[in-house]
Amino acid sequence: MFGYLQPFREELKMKDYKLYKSVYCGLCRSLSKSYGLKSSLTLSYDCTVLAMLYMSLHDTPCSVKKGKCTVNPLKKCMICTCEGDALRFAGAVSVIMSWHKLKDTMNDGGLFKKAAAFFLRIFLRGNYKRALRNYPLIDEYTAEMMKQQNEAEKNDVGIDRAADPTATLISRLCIMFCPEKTDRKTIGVFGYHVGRWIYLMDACDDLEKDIKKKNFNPFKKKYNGDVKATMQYCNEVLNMTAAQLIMAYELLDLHRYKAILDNIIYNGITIQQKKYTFDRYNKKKTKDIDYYPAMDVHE
Amino acid sequence: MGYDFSNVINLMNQGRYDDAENILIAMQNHPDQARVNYYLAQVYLKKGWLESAVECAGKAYSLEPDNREYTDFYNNLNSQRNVSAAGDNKAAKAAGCCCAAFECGDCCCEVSECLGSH
Repeated sequence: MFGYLQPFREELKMKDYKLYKSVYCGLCRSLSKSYGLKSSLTLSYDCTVLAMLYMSLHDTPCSVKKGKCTVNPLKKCMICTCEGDALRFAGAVSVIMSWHKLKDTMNDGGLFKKAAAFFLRIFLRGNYKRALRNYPLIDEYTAEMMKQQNEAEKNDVGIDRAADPTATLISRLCIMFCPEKTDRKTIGVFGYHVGRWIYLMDACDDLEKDIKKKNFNPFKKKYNGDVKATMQYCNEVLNMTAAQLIMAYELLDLHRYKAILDNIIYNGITIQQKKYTFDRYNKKKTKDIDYYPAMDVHE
Repeated sequence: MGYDFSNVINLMNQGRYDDAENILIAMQNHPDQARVNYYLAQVYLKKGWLESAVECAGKAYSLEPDNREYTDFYNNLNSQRNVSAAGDNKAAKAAGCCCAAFECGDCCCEVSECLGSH
């Protein structure tokens, strides 16, 4: 996972933002408790959203307490604890996916990246083994996804087929933690489009680099390397994926964190999309604050 | 050669989208190519393969532009491409700056990271 799923913080209430941060810190704490301090390195925003979705779908008690930051003990923070399996599950996803990503980098990356990935893998080996022991199914799904992804890239397939392995993985993960009373098909479709959106955002993000280095990118063939024209197209594809994602999201029965998840799905996705597709190619960089109409008037 | 798509529809209803896709792809010589592409677009939409769905829906539409069913389906799909799913982020735009609401500059900064631009 790559960290594209983030809330639009300006639109969040303070209490919701603090809750969001508490889940982030709770996940970090859970990671270091379950898999060792080193595994905190693998923490990502996407896994935080996964943990929140897990907790939101299940009605298990969760609480927030004051504590000290796991990585920097001088810093105070709010930490979410959950009686259910949400944080451990999201932590395992984080560790296992990072492990497989490093394996992929070792095979494909440049010399420096290969060496870095090799040492990081040695560093994280124990943590991965522990996560694997607890959640073998996540590892099985991720390994399958990586294999299919490599095959898709070798065959230079189109957008849909290229995004399918990541989308299927997230869909399967969502179904794994879906409570019995929830419709599996709905959460599966939601997960599929979340995974697809994340993959396509990453492809968008890497487009320029991939064109230069002649790496695989599903958007590369469109408009023959004209990045600006391709970005317009990327935005359209992402819009459509987001529309499907939202349709499934609205059918989910959420018990908590609804305000934060709504913010991520309705606002966060749009802002992230705008940042990665258009803003980075404009000379004047748009800051979050530029999204406010008041600022437009003053200009 | 059969004109009947009931087999494909049954497979779709059962959620066997890959099987339905294979049958439809094998129907290259079917005389009603517009309908083949229309169903193929529906299968792709169910699978989450949105680009293929748009492509097939477009083919069905261009083969029979007067068919209301194909036109509506194609337009519906296309409308999702051009409008940001969450609207024009109106809610976010209407929010205004939070800085005035918080006296504590530190916490405000943490939330909005916007003090620098003031």
